[in-house]
Amino acid sequence: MTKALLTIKELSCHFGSFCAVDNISFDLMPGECFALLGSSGCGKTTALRAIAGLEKPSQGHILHLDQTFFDHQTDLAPNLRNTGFIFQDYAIFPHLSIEENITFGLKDKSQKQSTLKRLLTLLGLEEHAKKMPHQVSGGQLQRVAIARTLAIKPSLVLMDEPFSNLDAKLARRLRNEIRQIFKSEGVSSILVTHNQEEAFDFADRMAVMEQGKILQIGTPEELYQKPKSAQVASFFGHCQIISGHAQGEYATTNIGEVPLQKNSDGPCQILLRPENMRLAPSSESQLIVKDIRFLGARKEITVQTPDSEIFVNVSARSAIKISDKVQITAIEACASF
Amino acid sequence: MLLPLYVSVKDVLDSKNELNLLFATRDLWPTIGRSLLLASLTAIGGALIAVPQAWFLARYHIPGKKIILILCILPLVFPSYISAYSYLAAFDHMGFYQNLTGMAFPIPIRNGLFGTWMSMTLVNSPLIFLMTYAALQRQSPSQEESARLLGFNPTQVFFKISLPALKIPIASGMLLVALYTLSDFGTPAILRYKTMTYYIFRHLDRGSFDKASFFSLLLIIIAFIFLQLESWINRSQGRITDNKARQIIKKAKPSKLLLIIIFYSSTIFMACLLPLLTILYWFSKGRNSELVFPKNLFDSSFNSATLAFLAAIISILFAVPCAWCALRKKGLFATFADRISFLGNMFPGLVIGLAFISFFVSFKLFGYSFYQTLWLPVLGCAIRFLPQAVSSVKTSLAQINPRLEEASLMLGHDSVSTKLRITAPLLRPGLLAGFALVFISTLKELPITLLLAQPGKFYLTQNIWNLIDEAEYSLVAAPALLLLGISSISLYFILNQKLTKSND
Repeated sequence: MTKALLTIKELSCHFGSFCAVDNISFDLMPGECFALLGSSGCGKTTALRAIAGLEKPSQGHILHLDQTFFDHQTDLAPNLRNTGFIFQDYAIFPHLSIEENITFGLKDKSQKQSTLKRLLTLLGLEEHAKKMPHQVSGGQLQRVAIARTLAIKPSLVLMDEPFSNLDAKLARRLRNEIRQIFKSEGVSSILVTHNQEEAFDFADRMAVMEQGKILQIGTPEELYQKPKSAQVASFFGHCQIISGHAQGEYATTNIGEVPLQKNSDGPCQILLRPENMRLAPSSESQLIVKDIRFLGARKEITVQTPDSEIFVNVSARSAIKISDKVQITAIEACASF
Repeated sequence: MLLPLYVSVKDVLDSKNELNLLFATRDLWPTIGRSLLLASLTAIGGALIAVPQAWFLARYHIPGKKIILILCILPLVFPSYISAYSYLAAFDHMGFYQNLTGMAFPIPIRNGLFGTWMSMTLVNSPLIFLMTYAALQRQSPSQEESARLLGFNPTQVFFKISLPALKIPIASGMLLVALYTLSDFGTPAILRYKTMTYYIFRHLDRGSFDKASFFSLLLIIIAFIFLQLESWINRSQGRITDNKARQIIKKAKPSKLLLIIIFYSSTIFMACLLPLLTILYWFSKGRNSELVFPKNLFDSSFNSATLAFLAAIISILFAVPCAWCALRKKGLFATFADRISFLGNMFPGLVIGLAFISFFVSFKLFGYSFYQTLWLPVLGCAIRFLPQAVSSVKTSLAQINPRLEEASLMLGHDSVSTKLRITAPLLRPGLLAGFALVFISTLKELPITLLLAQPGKFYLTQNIWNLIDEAEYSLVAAPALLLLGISSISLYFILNQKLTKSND
């Protein structure tokens, strides 16, 4: 097994009596793209800043290969951690040109020109090198921030909501580009975001945070398909949770029997994803189609159950009409809590 | 900075007997009464001029808007004693007015409330103007528009919506004007209206420190109350402001426009042009008799510039850590640093000068006495104008995103290198502005130079003061013009700061 690049162990951060990061642990493998996903105020940015050395943790360890970033006796200064940091507002130095921004962190002057040239090409900034920051667009500033960080050859790049100030299309393009650059340069990265689509798109592995704690760590697939709790499930896609009664592999609910991912008994909560269900006309059913929305590639159907509404995705060609009586069947086993 | 408070209290406590005498004098309560009356009338007069000035300028299309804006604020940077002198030279017996019209001005300008009130009102009204104008720019017109749509006519909207929204800036502007009026020394001294500051100086002149200290303490207490009131007013009501508020600018009907223009011309004439014209008149009159330049004009200018340079340097040196703590740190010192402009306003120049004399006359540091050295006026001015320096540095510092410094750290620069390469270059405009403001304010500062000047050294302000005292109107003209010219430069920095402040 390869050795982790970064090991976070039982890390906590307090602001006064408020606990922003509560005992979190995770590993980061060399070359891995990792994401911390959570709603605002969940402590993800504080955790990131603690790894960078910009915030002092109250306890825990941060280990970078054989180097201790932080433990009860060490607190390595941020400028000695050789870690890249991309800020939400890019933090491009306004009084320096694009070129000077990119070479700002370079200590070895002999490599200045070659590094600059390589990075300008890598990020497509050649024509902007001599400009001042206020003369280029937000997307380009983001590229400058990336180039500036890569210039110091960090083994780890930390990114704090780097795409939130860009429009969705540009953000997606830049995200893919940056991921590819990181992969080709062998740089590990941690992305902090509140946007699950962004996290899925970027990360090899990710952690979901809530109120300072990590709820679950895994690949995007694992987190989507096998969430450990309703809280985790609610971060991804359309999450509808109904109650039922588990009896081994199945649970009885008021939409019928539903297969479960893991055997259990007794009352439980079951996660139903819209794409994980089929609809079939059934004259005996008590479930009635309430509304239909056409979304191009598919239709989203609202089904009225005795106590709630459930959204089900069907093919765009489906002939189901409003007020039809229907039956719902789960195609795959569902997560239950 | 708290030295003046300490010294006044100590002096007052040390001399109970003398004070009993003072309380027994008939003139104590009338003096306080005159001071307060002058302050309140000036605040009211200032508001009557400044509020319409700000309102029309913010809401109507007026030709030459930029110039009017500048001229409305300009009197603020005039040294008050020069304005006072100019009104004296215009309206007093044998003044500009009398020479021009052949008649005496109907109201005596000296020895009464009127002259001092007029001078103080015209000089200080820009304070209210600045606050009101800034508030008007922040106000979203949609409030007024919805009031119109709810069925109110423009006059009702003005009194029900617009004016109440300006209540806070107008009130805090008026309080500051009242405070400046109370603590101003030059104007009442020149126009002979017997206020507290007038007596402080008189008692000092006669060497009775305790009486001066008593009035000085009284001044500090009243200033404290006013400032507390001001900050209380500002906190009392939350504001909904829209920083990117659209502005509706109306076209006035020709008749109304004419009235507006007459209003601006007359107020600006009285506050800016008349003083300038008067001084120029006396200047030209002097040239005929070849007495234009006072003998030591060059020497005293050089002395003043040295003093101002040193005071500005020291002020900035103190201002940087103060601003840094106020914005970036928490704790007792940060709160103190944040309230520093409050303290600065509490101790007018006269009070600082008095405190410095009575403290340093016996104080020795390692056997070295600062008394009657250059250090006294330098320190006095540096402390007096520290709030200006702090506010300039703070304005600049507030615009530096702390992420920039963090980014530099993350790129491998330690904190010293970061401060040199990132913070310092970005702070430069604030440092320069702060330096310039303190420099100019020190050049103008009358009471501190008057009280703390080393024997045998003459400053520009003293020069002007003595000449005014001797009624050498034409001799005053040249140094007064010089000082007015230099003072006007500070308007640039003040406008810059106010504009950036209202933008963020």
